[in-house]
Amino acid sequence: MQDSNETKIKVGFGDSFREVTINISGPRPYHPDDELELIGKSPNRTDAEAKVTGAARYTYDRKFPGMLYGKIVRCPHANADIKSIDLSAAKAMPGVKAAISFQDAFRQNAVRYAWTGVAAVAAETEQQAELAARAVKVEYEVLPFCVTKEDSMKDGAPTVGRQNQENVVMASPRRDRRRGETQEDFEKRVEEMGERFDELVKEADKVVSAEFNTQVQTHSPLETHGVVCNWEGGNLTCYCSTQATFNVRREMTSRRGGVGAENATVHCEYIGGGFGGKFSAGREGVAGAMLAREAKRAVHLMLDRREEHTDAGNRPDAKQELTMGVNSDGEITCYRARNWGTPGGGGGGAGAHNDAIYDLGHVDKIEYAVRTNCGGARALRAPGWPQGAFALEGMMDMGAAAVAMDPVEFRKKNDRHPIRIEEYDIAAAKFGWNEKFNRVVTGGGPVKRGVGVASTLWFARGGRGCGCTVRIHKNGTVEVRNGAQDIGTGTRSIMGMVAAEELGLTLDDVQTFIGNTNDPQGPGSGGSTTAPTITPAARVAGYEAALRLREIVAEAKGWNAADIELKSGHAVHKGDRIPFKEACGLMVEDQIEVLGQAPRNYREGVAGTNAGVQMAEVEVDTETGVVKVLKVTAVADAGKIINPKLAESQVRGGVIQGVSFALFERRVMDRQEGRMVNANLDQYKIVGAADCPDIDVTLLDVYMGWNNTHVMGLGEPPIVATAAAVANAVHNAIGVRVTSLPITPQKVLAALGVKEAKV
Amino acid sequence: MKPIKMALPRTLDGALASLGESFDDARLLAGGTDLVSELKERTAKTDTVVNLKRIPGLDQFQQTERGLEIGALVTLQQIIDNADVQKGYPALAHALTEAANPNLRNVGTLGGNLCQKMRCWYYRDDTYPCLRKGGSTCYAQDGENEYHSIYENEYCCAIHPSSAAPVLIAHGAVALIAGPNGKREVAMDEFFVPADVNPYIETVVEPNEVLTGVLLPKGSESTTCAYVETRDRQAFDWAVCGATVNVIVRDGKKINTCRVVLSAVAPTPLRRKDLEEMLAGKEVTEKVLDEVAEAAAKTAKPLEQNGYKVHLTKVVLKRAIRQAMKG
Repeated sequence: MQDSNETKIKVGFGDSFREVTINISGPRPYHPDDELELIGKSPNRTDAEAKVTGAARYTYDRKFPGMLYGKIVRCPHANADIKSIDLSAAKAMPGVKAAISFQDAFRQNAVRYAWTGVAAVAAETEQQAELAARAVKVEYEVLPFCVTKEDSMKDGAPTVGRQNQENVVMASPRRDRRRGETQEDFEKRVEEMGERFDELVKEADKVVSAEFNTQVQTHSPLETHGVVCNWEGGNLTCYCSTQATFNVRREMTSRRGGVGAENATVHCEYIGGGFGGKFSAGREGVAGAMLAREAKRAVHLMLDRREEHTDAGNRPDAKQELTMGVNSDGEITCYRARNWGTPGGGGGGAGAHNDAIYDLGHVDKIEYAVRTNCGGARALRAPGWPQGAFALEGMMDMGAAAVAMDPVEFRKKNDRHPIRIEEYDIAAAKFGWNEKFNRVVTGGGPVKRGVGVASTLWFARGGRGCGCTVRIHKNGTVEVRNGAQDIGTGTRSIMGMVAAEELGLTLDDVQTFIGNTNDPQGPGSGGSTTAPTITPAARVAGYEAALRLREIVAEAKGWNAADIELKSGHAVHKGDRIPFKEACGLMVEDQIEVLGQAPRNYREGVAGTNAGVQMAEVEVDTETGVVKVLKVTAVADAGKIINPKLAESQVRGGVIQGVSFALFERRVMDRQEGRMVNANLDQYKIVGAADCPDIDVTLLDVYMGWNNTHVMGLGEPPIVATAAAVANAVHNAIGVRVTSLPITPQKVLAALGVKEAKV
Repeated sequence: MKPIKMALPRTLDGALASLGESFDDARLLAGGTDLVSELKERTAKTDTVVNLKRIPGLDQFQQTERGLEIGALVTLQQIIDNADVQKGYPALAHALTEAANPNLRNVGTLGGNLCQKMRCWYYRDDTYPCLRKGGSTCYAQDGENEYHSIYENEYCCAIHPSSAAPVLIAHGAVALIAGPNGKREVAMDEFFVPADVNPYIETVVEPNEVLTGVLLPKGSESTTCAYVETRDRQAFDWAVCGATVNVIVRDGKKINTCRVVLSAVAPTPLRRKDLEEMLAGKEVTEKVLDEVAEAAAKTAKPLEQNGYKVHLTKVVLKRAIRQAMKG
């Protein structure tokens, strides 16, 4: 292990490796023959005990002396212009210490969906704040609205936006302004894309087409969004339930953000779920900071469950009209997708990734965003992918059937991913695909069984901009620090493991600190990039700290530093060894402190994307329409697996949330008043323990290249395929396809031709 | 949650004295699984709550010469675990096992299960001034109504979600009610108030009365009572359709007398004497099952989005009859 530049490393997995030459700085990537003591083992996560005993303190739990409670005033109308906001009555209420109007704070004069915030108050107790919020007088000009994209797309539909914004906007493809594409060239490109499809589809041996629909899913984290803010002069301390501590810090210190703190420390040691909805402090966070400044007291402002459902993001819905041309040998030659999805009242993305994963030949895809008077979309665990995969994988099964191929063989025929192509066989063997898919059922009761398969693609290579501190104290205590948050995936633990490995320690031997922006910069937990971004920095820090310690030991003991190894809790030199703690005691100074920076990603490696294959087995009661997912076999990869137990948990979590998306979750909008009627966790149904399948996880250990730990992220990939596999299994069970998520009993019955079930 | 006042009487008389002439004056608190959510969502108009938990005796089972009395404060889980219930009224234990989740069953009480408010997302949302909350319209009639009533839904189409009630009705149970003028008893059959009689209340218990328990009369024990429900989610969820069939007297494969109650399909549990009569004296064949199911379906008046509940009612009804005949 040296800081040379050109180094040969091995990349690959299973028994297939190749050698590549890369430029590196710092430690060379793990080698398949390295004797790693900790990496690849499954110690319990460092915060497990704190979480299960309730010792872990979340944002919600934070208290300051004299702390006030904030409450946001919200508009019940789905579309309205604000005429005036009168805070005077609220300010005169008992206990009220601060009140702000969003007209003043955010120059917000329009409300484009129900339960948009318009003002905020802070009072001594939660109850006083709630009563004061109700006393704020807001005068609205109420406008007509549409809360479904179907209504929004009708001729003469009310306009959702302002200033002549159209309800339906073509979102992709887009004119390439950077390359100077003219509008005319752009239109020509789109037209040619369509014409080419038209030609190819005529030539195809078989053509399949269908329309798929998916629902709006809300994030529904257990802990809602919110902050606890406290000022000391111009310095802000902000506890925030966030998956991007440094984003929040930037927002709080930005001059444009409305807070403009001179300095801000953002804390998020524990977070009760984020799923992509917590990258920003949000209006609630900024309002919390503003109220605290006005009141000169700490303010606790957390959303309630209705606010969380309606004003904290969602996965947009999607209508997907798809056509696929297939040759009789199973090769897909062309593919057309027309997508519509609602990003809510604003613009922004509502895409469905239904043109990826496989080689689909010529792709002609056009996507539209449809504005509605509903809360805005935000990233939600693999944004665009589960809904896209549901439709695409439905098409894959239809394509396979059209050419009488086994669905797995049909996928393999059109799959170019070097990892996934192996994963099909692993999954099929573990699941028993061949026996189950070809099972002949005769007679039997109303309950039918079926199986389905679907695939995953993800891009979790991570990147730079991350540091990690390792401190070794003279008394043998080791700290590992990064300022980013652990969204729940176990970032804190794997960061500690990677650093501990370099020092020959166990995870219990190091203290891990996370979620404090005074520590080195870390990434937001998005795109499944946290692990591949933090672990290389942790490794560099651990590696350099180990070098320093070895030098200290070498000097004190008269050993040769290059011959000293830190392993099994000892400094080992040929036949001699001293315990780690004793080695630390040889320091002259109090501590070794190293700030490691994540090196730039290498240019070579395996694939560079995550693959994954899932197979699902379901039981469908054809009389009641109830679907039960019995089993999901998930084969997943994420580069090198640092802690198999934590990685497996990510896959399980993805599958569980995927089942929930497949069968239960959906936002229901009342079309009369334009409000969400199931904005709670009673009627917004999320999968429960009794609905969870048996989940069998297989993780590949891939020496990916790209960075010094070979790690890729795994938060998002496991959710991509689940709903698609479940839907395909339902089709296999009952012989008809339910083309709309969630697959409710009503939809199953309608698909089966029960006339009363048709809406 | 709005500020509330709570009375904690130690006697039944003390509780009665704390109640008023209107439900807006005071509401009774037992397990709180329903009332607390009403207070949080501000759908309960009262700010006074009378907590029954200190009153001795309300959380007891009693075998008397009249039968098995279950106190109003007995929890759903205690009923499920009770040996007398398991032996004599297994369908009741089963129905409650299907209800809610372990946490709620450990807290929720029989009285609360019977006196809980309606299930309807408009009723449960304080921003919709619906008929049942004293407003002028039922929003679900023309709104999002896939879970709503398919019977007796002209005025209010919320559903009464009690899963204990249909089984108690099928067993001929009696509600025990205490009031300022002493005690009274009402057949469970007549305990619930149809929406077309009065859409503002759910049961015959007056604002100044307390449901103290339920009597399962001697001789009402039955192992041939079956409760079947279907719901979207197997974990905690509300029944979408339920059917209870109690074959009281049979003659070999023939039903002599029986009781049929449909639930989660109307603003009250719905005893169906017409279907009982159809079944009386019949051997249960597939043809008879179809006829009874069709008769149930024919009387339904589904709304725009809940026609599937008509189909499901047929399914659960047939399953309940078959299961009851198996005994």
